[in-house]
Amino acid sequence: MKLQLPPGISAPAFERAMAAFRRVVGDEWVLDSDADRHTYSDPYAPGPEDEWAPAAAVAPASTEEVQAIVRLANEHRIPLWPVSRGKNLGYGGAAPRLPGSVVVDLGRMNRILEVDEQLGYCVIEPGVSFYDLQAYLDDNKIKLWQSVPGNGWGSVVGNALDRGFGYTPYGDHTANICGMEVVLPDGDLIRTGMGAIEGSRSWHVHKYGYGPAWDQLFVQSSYGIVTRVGMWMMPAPESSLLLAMNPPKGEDIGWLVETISQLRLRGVIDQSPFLPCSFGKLSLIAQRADLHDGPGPVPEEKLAEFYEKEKLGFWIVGLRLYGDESVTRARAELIKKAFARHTDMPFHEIPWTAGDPRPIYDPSLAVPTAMPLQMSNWAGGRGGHLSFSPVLPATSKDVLPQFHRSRERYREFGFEYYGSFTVSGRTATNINMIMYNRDDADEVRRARALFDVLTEDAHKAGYGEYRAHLGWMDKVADTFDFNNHALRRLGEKVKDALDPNGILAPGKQGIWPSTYRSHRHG
Amino acid sequence: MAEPRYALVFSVALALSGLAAAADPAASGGNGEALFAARCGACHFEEGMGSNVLAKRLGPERALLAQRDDLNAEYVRLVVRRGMGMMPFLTRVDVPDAELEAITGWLTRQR
Repeated sequence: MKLQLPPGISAPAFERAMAAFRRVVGDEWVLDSDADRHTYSDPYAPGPEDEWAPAAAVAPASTEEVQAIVRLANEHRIPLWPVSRGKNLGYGGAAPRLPGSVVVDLGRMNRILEVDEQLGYCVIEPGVSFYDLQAYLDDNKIKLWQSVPGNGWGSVVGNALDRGFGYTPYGDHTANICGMEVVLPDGDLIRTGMGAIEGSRSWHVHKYGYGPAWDQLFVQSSYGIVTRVGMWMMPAPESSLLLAMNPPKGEDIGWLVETISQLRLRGVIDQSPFLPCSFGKLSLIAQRADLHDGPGPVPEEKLAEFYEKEKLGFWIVGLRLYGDESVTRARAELIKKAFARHTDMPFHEIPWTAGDPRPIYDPSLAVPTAMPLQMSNWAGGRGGHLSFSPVLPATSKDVLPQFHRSRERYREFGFEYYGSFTVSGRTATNINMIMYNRDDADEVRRARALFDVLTEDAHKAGYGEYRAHLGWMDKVADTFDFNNHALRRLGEKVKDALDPNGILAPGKQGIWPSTYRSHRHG
Repeated sequence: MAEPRYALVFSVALALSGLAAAADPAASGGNGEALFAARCGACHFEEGMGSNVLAKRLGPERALLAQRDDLNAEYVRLVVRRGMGMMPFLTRVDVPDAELEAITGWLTRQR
């Protein structure tokens, strides 16, 4: 990938900045060849990779090196794009929002600093992957479970900072954050919460500290580079029980979401169940060409025929209970009673006891996996995917119209519908996957158009997304439009106060510093 | 039309559960086999995403890279740094050049 310079920076000025970075991290860890730039682009880019082109990457090994890089970036006016491990696949990977930014790859900062088994937390650096943390837990026979998302290759810290989620009772990963160390845009270093006390012993057990609490300021934000995080973890359960069924009709999602929401609010279920449509399973085990020779998506009747043959139903329901067996059995009876009001379909019950294997295709048993990424192979060629993820109230009057509207849009734009709902009490997060072949320009064009129209439809209905790919960070920010985008104006006021040179992650989540504000929608 | 290979994907996957614990390259002297396990194994051991995709594309007998005798060093380097199909590329922080050479040497040992 050819070099795209940061806006307003000449080639000699850029080289001077790279030389300064080399003096901090060593020659080996300034990655600025054409081949390196390619590896920091978006591997699933919906379009040309240079649309969000990195100019280089720099990989510090310590908080002190991060501070030095930030100070040099201010001096040389170089925009930085920090990533924990750069595996935010479907949202842009390691690629920056502003072309010409230098990626700060924190992958070398991969120390597990502490795991407290008694109080259930770990303290880790951003380069620690879910696989790394699992290896540490296994090696040291620590009876704690982490919560894993669909991509175990990614960073535990990075995923929590982008509000990722998993499938256990600790599935709201941002909520597990307790205490951070952060390098501010001027190079200063802070510790949040109780960590603001020198020698604090309660940094990672109490979230709020004294006075305003700042952790959320650094989530999905460009206000600092997080170099260390305390994350709460779940005590390993002694047993678990999975209740599984496959309701047959698309319309079933209405009562499913409402029933699970009420069970969740009453504490009968303590995970946030993930309800994908059966196409999610199909996309992992097959490709479009296996079912359909013609152009366009697999016809609905052919999909229905396949689901019937494989006894898949329309939705895949898996409710997992954790803890003492007598308690999970009692909870299971309450769940069965609630479901019996809507269906005579029985649950398939799958018990698990501590010491039993934990298969990698079931992330609700907290084993890291990358298997869900196989969906990107559905369309063939150089596969990729995007995630469109509006947040809805967990009621049928919200969920059903959203389901029908999105399903029709998928057909209109030539894709198979792949929606899912994650029910976490009051909300249903509606993650919709769009898979495309990057070598098929028309399919990529349609994928982008579909994303646009889904965003507009959801906005008109009163919903917004919880997370977005680089290409839609501004468009989604536009939908948060109360009082002429007052929230964005506040975000940008804070941005300019903390980062007057605008060097840190310009454009992240639609917040642009004054220095680069003209690049909004660019 | 090819038949989807359900069995490979949905058979119970035990192989990976203990993988990471056994895959610390430093503990194993940084050799190619241990590095392959640590850097590539999550996807390219049995039941991993990469193995599942390769099984579909090339057949189960060529799905596991560790058992292949037809891999070429330059090809391995290219796939790692450029990606292939839906496999993302890996940076020099993910797999430094020296580690990639050790991995490539081990993967092509049977040639």
